[in-house]
Amino acid sequence: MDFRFNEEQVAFQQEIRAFFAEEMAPEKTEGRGERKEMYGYDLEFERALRRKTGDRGYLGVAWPEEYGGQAKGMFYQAILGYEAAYAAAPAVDIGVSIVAAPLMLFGTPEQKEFFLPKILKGEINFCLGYSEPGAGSDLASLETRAEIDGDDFVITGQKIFTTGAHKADYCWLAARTDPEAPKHKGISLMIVDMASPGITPRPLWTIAGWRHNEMFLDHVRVPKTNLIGELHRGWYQVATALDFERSGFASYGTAQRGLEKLVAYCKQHWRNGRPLSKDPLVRAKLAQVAIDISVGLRFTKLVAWMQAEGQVPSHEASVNKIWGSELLRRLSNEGMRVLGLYGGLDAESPHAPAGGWFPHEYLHSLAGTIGAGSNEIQRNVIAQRGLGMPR
Amino acid sequence: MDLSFNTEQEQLRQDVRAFLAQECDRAVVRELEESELGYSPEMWKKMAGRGWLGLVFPEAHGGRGKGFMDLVVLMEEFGRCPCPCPYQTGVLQSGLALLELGSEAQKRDYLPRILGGDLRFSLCLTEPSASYDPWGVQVRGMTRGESWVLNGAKMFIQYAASADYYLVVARTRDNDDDPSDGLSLFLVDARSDGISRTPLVTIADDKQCEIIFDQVLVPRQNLVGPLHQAWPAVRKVMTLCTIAMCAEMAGGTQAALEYAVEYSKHRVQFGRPIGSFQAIQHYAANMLTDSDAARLSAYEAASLVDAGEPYEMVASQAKAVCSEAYQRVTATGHQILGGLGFYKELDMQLWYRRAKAMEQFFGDADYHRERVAQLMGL
Repeated sequence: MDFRFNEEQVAFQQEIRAFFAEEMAPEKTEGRGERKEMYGYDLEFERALRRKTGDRGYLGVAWPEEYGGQAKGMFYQAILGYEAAYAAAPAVDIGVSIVAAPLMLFGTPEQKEFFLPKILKGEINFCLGYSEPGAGSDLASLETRAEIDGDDFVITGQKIFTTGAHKADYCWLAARTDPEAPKHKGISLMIVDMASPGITPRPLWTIAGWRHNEMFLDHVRVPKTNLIGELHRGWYQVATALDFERSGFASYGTAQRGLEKLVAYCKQHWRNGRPLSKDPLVRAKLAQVAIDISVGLRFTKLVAWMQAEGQVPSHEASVNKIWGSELLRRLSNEGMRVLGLYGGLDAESPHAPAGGWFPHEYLHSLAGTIGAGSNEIQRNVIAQRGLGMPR
Repeated sequence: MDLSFNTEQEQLRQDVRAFLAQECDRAVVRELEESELGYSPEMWKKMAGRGWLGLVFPEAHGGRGKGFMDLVVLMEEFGRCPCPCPYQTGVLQSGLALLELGSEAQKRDYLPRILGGDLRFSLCLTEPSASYDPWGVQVRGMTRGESWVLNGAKMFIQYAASADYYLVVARTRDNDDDPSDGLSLFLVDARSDGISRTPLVTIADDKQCEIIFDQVLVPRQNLVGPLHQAWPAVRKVMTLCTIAMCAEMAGGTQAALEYAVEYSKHRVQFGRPIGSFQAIQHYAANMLTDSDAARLSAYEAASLVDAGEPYEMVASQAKAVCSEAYQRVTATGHQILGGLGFYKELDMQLWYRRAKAMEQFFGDADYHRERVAQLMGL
C-alpha cells in the first residue's frame, strides 16, 4: 500500500502550483477583484484565466485522448482541483468538473464534437439547472416542463440556486418531459444555450456577498438535438453526474490555504505576552485542522484511486463530501475564534486579517454542507448504500 | 499510489480471522479477561507457530521479515476480535527495542525465543509520572562494582506478572537541559531479588502492574544499547508501536460499527427495524466516517514505515484520529444498542473499554495534537 503520488504526479503538482501562483500573483489580480462575483474576480479575468488554463491542456488532463485529453487519469484531475482551490483561482468551471464526464458517456457524436473541445479549451462555461424552489434534496420532484414541439423542446419553469447563470454560456438542465410517468422516469437532460430568448436570470445575493441566481424559463426553445442521452432517462444520468461531482480534492485545497493563513497570523501576532502560536489552545486548534485536512486527503485519494482502478465509489464519495464541507465550516469557525475581535473584519474593512478570508469563508462554507446533495442526503447514502441499512 | 493490500496480506487476514474465530471467540475473550494471566499461553504458542509473533522481525532472528502493512493486517484482526494477548508489550515493544538497541549476542540469545513464544518480555517505560516523555523517567540505574543497581517504580506495565524479563528504561545520568540525555535500557530478570509487583485493576482487563525496583542487581552485560543514549531508539520503537496500536484500534472501530449496524437491522421498534430510522442511520454514517478515517490514517502511517519515509507526523495524526474515532464509535454503538448494550452479555462493551484504554496508551489525542503542532513548526 502506498499513499504517495508518483514522481510524475508530484512534478505535475509542482508545475500547476507554479502556474496558478503566477496567474494569481498580486500584479495580475490587482484591480480585477469584483467582490460581488462568485470567486471574487471580474468576468473577463475569469474567462481569460480559464482559457489560459485550457490552452495549457490542464482542463483535459484526465480526459481520454479521443476527446483531446491527456488521459493521465483521475489523480491529475484531482491535483488540478486541489491546486486551483489552493490558489483560489477561478479556473475549473463545472463544464469540466460536472458536465464533461456524462457528456462523454451519454452525448451524441455531434454533441461531443461541438462541446468537448470548447470545454477543453476553456472557451465556454456552464451553469447547472437542477434545483427548483420545490425540488431540492427531492430533486426528482422537479416541475420545469419541456414539451416537444416539432424539432424543439419548449421549456417553461423556474430554477433556483443557478449559481453562475448570469455569466454562463450554456445551462446543463434537467426538465420534466413526461408528466404522466413516475417522477424518476419522466425527466430528461439537455443543454440550453443561455442566449436563447425567454431566459431570465435574477440575482440572489448570498450571505457571503456573492451573486447567485434564480432562473426563469418562459417558452424557451431548445433543439431536440440538445437532448443528452435518452429521453426520460435524465434522472439516472443526473445520478451518474453527481457521483463525479462528489469526487473533488477542492475542499482541501481551500482548507490548506486557510490553515496556512491562520498559521502565519498566529506566528506573527502576540497575545498575553507570547505569539498566538505558542498558546496551547491555539496550537491544538491548528493541529486539529491539519489532522482533519490529512484525513480528508486520505478520503479523496481513496475515491480517486477507486476511480483510477475502474471501481465506482459510492459511499466513499459521500464520506469525502461530508468531511470536506464540514471541515471548512470548522476551520473558518475556529479561525475566527483565534482572530478574536479581528475575526469579524470584512475584506473591505481596514485592519482585516488575512484579507477577510475567515469571515467570508465562515459565511460561504454554509453552502458546502448543503449543495451538491446535502450532508443529510449523503448520510442516507452512506447508511443505505455503504452499510446496507434498510430504507 | 496503490491503496490495496497485496494477495499475501489478504491471505494473512483470512488466516488470522479464521484462527481467531476458532480459538478466541467472544466467550473465550471473556474467560481470558477474567483469568489471572489475561491471555492463553496455548493460543500464544500457536500464534508463534504460525510465525505471527515474528511477523516484522528479520529472518536472521527467527522472524518472517515482513513489512508494517502486514503487521497492520494482524493488528486489525486482533482489534476486531478483540484478542487479549501481550503482543504489544511482549513482542512489539520489547522485540523492536532489542532489535534497535541490542548487541548481536543479546539479539541472538533472546529474539528467537521471544518470537517463538518461549520467553515473555514486558517493556517498562512508564512510571508514576504517567508520561511517555523523557522527563517522566525517574527510575535510577547506578553502578555498584560489576553490576548495575536499579531503584524506583514503573507503572501501567501490561502483562508484567507473567513476564520472564523486563526491559527497563532507567536514568543513568542527569541533564537538566535535556531530560532525554542520560536514559539507558536494561535487561532485567523478572525473578530478581528486590522486584515486587502489585496488580493494577483496569477497565480493559489488560493485567497491568506497578513494579517496584528496590536495590535490584543487574549484571553489567545486561545494559542494552549505548549508555545514557537509549532514548532516540526507545522513542522510535514507541512511535512504531503507536502505529501498530492505531491499526488495532481501527480494527476494533470497524468491528464495533459492524456489530451496531447488524443489531440495528434486527432490533424492531414501532414495527420497523431501528436501522431504518434516519436518527440511527446518521449515527451509523458518522461511525463509518470515523472508522474509515482511523483505518486510512493507520494505513498511511504504516505504508510510510515500509517506504522508508519519515512517519512521525502521520503516526501522531493517526493516533489523534484513532483515539477519538474508536471512543466515539463505541460510545455511539452503545447508544444504538440501547438498554441491553449496558449489560455484559452484549459485545460492544469489549471494544468500548479497550477504546478508552488504547486512547491513553502512547498519549491521547491531546498529546498527539501537540506533537503535530511541534512537527508543523509551531
